Amino acid sequence: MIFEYIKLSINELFNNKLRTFLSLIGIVIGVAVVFTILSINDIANAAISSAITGTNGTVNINYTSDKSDEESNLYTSFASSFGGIGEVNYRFDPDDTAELIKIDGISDALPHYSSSINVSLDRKNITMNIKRDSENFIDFYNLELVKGKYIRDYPEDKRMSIAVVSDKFIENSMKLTIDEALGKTIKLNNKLFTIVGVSSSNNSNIDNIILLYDKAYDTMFSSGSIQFMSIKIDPGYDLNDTTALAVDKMNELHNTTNTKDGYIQEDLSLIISQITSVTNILSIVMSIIASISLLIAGIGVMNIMLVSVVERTKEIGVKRAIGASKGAISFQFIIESSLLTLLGGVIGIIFGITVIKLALNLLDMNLPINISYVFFAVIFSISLGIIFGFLPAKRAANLNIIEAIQSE
Amino acid sequence: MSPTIIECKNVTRIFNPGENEVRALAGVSFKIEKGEYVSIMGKSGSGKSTLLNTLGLLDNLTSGQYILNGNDVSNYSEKKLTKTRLKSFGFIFQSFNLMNNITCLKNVELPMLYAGINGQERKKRALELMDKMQILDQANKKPMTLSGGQRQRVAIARALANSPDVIFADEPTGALDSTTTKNILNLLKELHLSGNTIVVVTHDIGVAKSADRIITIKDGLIESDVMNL
Ligand SMILES: Nc1ncnc2c1ncn2[C@@H]1O[C@H](COP(=O)(O)OP(=O)(O)O)[C@@H](O)[C@H]1O
Ligand SMILES: [Mg+2]
Repeated sequence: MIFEYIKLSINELFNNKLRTFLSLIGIVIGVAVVFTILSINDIANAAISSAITGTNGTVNINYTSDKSDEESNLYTSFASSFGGIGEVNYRFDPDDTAELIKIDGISDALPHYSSSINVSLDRKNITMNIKRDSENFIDFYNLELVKGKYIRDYPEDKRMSIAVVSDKFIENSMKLTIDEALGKTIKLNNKLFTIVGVSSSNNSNIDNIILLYDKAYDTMFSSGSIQFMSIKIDPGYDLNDTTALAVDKMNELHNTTNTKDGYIQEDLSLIISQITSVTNILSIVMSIIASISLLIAGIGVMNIMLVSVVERTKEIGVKRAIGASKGAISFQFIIESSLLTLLGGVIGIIFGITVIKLALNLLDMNLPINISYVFFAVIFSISLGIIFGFLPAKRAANLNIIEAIQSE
Repeated sequence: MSPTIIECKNVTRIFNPGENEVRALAGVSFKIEKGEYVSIMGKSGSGKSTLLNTLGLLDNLTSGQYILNGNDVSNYSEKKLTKTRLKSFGFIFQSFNLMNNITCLKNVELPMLYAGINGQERKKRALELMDKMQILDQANKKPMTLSGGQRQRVAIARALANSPDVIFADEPTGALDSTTTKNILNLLKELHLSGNTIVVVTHDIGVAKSADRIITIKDGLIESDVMNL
């Protein structure tokens, strides 16, 4: 029975192509924006997790003088990410790694050596993060070599005066292209290093670095410049739970389980909250746009349905005369407005998916479209038709039969 | 004697009560029995349509009583009124009043759709009725492609869809030429002979004379009520 009503409605919509088209525009925009908002949160979350942990599940363990003090945790976290200004701690032992990788779910561990140094570039001095290479450095971070060779590709005796530099450093600080940079020398603490390779990574620990051979690094900087311990978590293991095990192990190894100072998980919440606050603002702005366009669109649909009621007054009167109930008449109009908004919604979803795909392409990310959002947007569109079709439907149902039949 | 279907007791219908009031029905009383073929005749503006609309439960009376199958319709709920129009009445209009953007078949099916009859049965009965009206070959065409006479046949088929107790027709031949008028009148006669109760409104004495009984009204009052056998 309902199919018959739907068929009648489709018939009606096709009979008024221009009107149908006009009322669709707002719905299309509104639903496209709603769909995009829903998906943007996913993209933001994926971006957050890839920015913080890299794409391969690494987490940092920091040392703090007060485990219970969140401010100090943040400070430690920041201090480490900016290369250990202020107090240098001697709290990490390279041998800790052996214990950490015994933990279920941890595939690798890496002491993160880092020192800040003034690098002279064209008589300009900039402060730069120097990192210390090790056997597992490349594997640990999935560091990609976009050009040239890696330090350990050279024989032992050549390694002391070469460096691998990140693409960001070359492009942002040296103002060179990757091709130009290869073979250039940079001066670190009055020692010259030749750039033999260019690396690339989206892990914030190592996306802007100069990487030196471990022995070269050790002669330049005294030992004890371990900023934090990085662990790599196997896929399928919970990031937080597994990290907590590693933190406990570190506290156990250094007898800091019950002391004020000790080891903590890098505080991700601040970074997360910064990124989410940006995406939240974005979401709020887009929600406002969506609400306004949906309200305007809804009123547009209502208006067009009201016009349709007026135009079809005679038809409504005749239908009532031959036995259509008020319910049957309003049902017909509700079906019509819902079909209209559903059609607009489907087009809107297609637009939304296109926008999301484009955005993902620009961000170089790969995320599947969430089917539940498509489903939600469809239900949402239909509801819109029901809500804004209600008044016209009621008006149609309550027309005076005789006046309706006599109208032209 | 057949049972009484329709009984009017001093029915009035006054439009715009107050200063510019129009007494379209000024107090009419009559009975119609089951199986009768009655025409209501009168000049334009005499109140024929108003009377028919009142009988067809499309309009409310101002005073008096309308007793349908023994029940006073003033007690009818909106739902009961709708159901009565759907199941007990069939309407035929001067300008056919078909839905122009659906096929003739769908037009005939429409009252059955409202009655909740399933698709297969609807189609079967609609085709039967169209066959009876000799327009079976027009079933899948849109009404606008048909001649006036054919369209009125579609409308009659539609009126018969739910096997009504009474068929009401307001100037059913008003938009047709004389030959087609004759054909339609013959059709109504046949329906009458097969047991249908028919009430036809007309200003045309020729049309009125095809009925068995002629009620003449003037200025909202019954002037004469005579058998025409
Ligand atoms: N809705 C209305 N409002 C005011 N006057 C009406 C209305 N409908 C009919 N009338 C008046 O009632 C009288 C009877 O009309 P009607 O029943 O249509 O006559 P007929 O069908 O015999 O030509 C006419 O004077 C007409 O102008
Ligand atoms: Mg009239």
